[in-house]
Amino acid sequence: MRRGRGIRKVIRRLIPVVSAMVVVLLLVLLYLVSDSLRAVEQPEGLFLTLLGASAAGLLFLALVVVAHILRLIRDYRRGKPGARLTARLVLTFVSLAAVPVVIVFYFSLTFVQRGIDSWFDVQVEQAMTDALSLSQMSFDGRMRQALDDTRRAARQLRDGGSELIAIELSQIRRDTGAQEMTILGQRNLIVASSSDDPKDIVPARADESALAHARSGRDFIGLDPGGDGNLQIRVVVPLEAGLTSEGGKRVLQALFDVPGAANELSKSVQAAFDDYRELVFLHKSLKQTFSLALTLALLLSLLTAVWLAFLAARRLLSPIRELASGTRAVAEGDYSLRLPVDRRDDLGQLVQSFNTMTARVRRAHDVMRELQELADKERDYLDTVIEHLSSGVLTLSFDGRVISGNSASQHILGIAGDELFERNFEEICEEHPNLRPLCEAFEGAVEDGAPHPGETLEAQVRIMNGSGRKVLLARLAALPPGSDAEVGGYVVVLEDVTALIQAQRDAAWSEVARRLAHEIKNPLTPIGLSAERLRRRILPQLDQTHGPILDRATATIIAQVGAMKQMVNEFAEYARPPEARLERIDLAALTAQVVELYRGNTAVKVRLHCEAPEPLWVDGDANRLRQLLHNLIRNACQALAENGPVDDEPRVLVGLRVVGEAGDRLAELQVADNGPGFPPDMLDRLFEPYATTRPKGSGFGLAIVKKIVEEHAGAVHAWNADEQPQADDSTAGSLLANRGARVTIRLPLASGREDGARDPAAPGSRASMDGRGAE
Amino acid sequence: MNAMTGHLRWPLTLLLAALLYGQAAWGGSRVVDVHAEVRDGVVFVDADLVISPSQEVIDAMRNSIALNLVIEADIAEPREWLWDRRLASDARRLKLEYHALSRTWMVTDFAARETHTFTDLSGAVDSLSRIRAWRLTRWERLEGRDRLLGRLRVRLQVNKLPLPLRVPALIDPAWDLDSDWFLWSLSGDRIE
Repeated sequence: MRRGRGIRKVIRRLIPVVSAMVVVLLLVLLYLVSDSLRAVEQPEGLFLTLLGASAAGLLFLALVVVAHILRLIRDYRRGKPGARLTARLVLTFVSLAAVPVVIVFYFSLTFVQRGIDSWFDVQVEQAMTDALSLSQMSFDGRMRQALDDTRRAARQLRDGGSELIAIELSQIRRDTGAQEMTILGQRNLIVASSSDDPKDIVPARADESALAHARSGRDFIGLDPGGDGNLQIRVVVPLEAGLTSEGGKRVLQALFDVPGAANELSKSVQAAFDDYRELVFLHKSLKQTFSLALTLALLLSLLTAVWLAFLAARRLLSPIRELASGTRAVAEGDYSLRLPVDRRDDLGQLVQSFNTMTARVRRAHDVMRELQELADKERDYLDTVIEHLSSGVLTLSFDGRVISGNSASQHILGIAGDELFERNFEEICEEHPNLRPLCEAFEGAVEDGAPHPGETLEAQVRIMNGSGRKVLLARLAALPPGSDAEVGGYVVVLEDVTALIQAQRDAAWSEVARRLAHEIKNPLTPIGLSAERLRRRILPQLDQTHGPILDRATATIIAQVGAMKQMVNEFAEYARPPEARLERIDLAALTAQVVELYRGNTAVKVRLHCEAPEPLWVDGDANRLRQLLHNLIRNACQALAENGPVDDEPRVLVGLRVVGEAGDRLAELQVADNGPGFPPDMLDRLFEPYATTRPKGSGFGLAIVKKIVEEHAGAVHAWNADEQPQADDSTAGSLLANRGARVTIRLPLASGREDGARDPAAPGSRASMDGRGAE
Repeated sequence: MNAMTGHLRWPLTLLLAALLYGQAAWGGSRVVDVHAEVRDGVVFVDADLVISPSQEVIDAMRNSIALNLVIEADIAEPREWLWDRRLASDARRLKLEYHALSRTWMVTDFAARETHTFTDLSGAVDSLSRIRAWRLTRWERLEGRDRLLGRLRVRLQVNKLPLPLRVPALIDPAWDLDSDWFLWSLSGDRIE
């Protein structure tokens, strides 16, 4: 394939060289053709060879030109760059060359034809014929005398004897002045001959018709041009000798010379007459030949002109074609092309400028690509940073459509990405009513066209989601406007400050509790001791009137001091620094033990529902966890006792199950009741000290619960079943018909011990924790 | 069969007449017979030709244009797988022209270096058509060959014509005076 292409390339390169050689050869050939028209003597076959070679050369040139034309037509139809210009240039060149050539051809042809015609003239022709006739007539007298002499000789020979006829013939020939005399007998055999020239052995023989003429009894006389062009007079007469029987068939032939001057003149006349006759006869052919030669010259000129026009157009347009292909390459994004600059004219400068332009475009393109890569990297960097921020980041368009957001935002809002992106924030809020406060916070501001670029709106909103109430610090800022309408909008940054606020509160309360315990506990003992001492010492001395007063007063003081001591102890307990001793315990067994203590409680029915199929090993402090369970169950029981159940029977259900994915599994402990639930305004502060609805409550129960949970690296969450968007899917939830208060605690399972089936303590504890079995 | 012959007789006659007329109008040459014999160790060839110049050729001759003919003969040994081996060849050049002053036709034999004059064209053409005792080659060059093939033809020398006539002479059938090769076989011991 490659080899074939190489051969074709070589042929294509050779064609112009060969064509040039052909043109030169044709010029030489035409010169030789025209020269051979003049030349009289020429080598055999020269003219035809020249003509054949010229025809072959012209054919080759015609083929080259036809190939060029076909290629141009093909390029023109395909719309190849430069084809139209080539066609125009070729047409221009050809017409420039063809017009003068055709004019010259026409006039040359006319001149040649008229010139040849002018050679011939009626008068000249007549003169030539007359000259010939005159020459013939000039010989008439001599011929007549020759005839007479020959007749006389014939008569003398007739009289002579046959033996001496040769001698007699010689004598008579000398007498008559004949150059040669011959007697021819039967079958034209020579009987006797006599010649003036002794070297002439064989006599010149007359032709058959002359001899036949003489044998028929008539005399023959005529001019004989002879081999060397010298005219002779030939006379043949019958020789009627009576010597032999066949003498009647004998004839005498005599040849007479003509005078030298007459001979020369007649030769000249003959030559001129021959030339003229030949010219007259050939003048038509001559004109055709000249026309042919001129046509060949015309064809050669035209074909060479067309061929050279193609070459010139190709040479002229090659940089333009290269420029066109280069422009197309640049348009397709290939800036590496560099065109060869092999000429110093205007087109060369154009190509040079093109190369400079391409180089600049390439440099600009490279810079642009580097910038683009840099921007991409920065964007990736920013994306990664934003993606891993704990704060949620959302970008909105001007019409409130969510364009992008990190995973933290989805986590904070509790919505999957496909529900969030490319949707209007208003619609999202309508679909998820718990997000309504977020929309309301910025609704007015965005509608008013605020914030302006650089300005930031801040709002603290509380929302509910699957993991409870959350306090979000939301910031809204306008993005810098872009030229494109799509660019710009708002960025919303959401921070979950629930834990932060809670921690601040907890820290504040701990500090208060510690100080209160410290400041109050110290004076309480002397107050109590003093009151008891007062009672012991003074009471017996008082009368019936004052005695009871002191008794009641001191009893009240002692009781209140006791109550205050208890309160201070609870404060101290709350503020106590964590010193839990964590060990591996079975949460299911522990819970079963605690619930079992409430089995005898008649006012409220407390039951355990364990959905965990195995011992729940957690790292915890058993005492603290018992306290936690007691606090929760007692809290629920008290709430039921005070407010009553929403249905017939007051019930507290303790649920235990495992939640979460493999590798991140948590033990979930839920204490549920069928009471009226937590007051909604208390939900945020339930786990704070003094957060109680009961008049007698200290408000430390749930606060201590939370503290214990946090000591165990767990999470606690209180909620009302009927306020939750998702239904409580636990067994307790379904048993309580999704009503009442819920406190859910999640504790991390002991690592590597989730599968506790092989633990020896497991079988015993399983039986006791099976709440359903106990019921 | 006879009926068919009867039906075909007239058309065939007309065709033959047309062919003969065409031959006469266009002229032409052919070799009628060749006879070769060895005398005194030399191969002599006698040949009989039919040369019929067309009217156009006769007109040209009457207008002082000479007709140059060449008679070519050669003897070759045929071979099975190769070209024939040429053993002997010769060419005989003849010229026929009209002499206006003497109103005669002249036949010049360049080989014999002699010129004969004739009062009429037919005599001149007859003279051309009869080749006698042409010394072709020496017999010893042919001796010992199993088979010999001789051939002979007559050809018009177009190059000797005046220039304007050469191209017409090449393409015009009236000027076609070339004959086909006449082949005859010779054997080593006998020459016919």
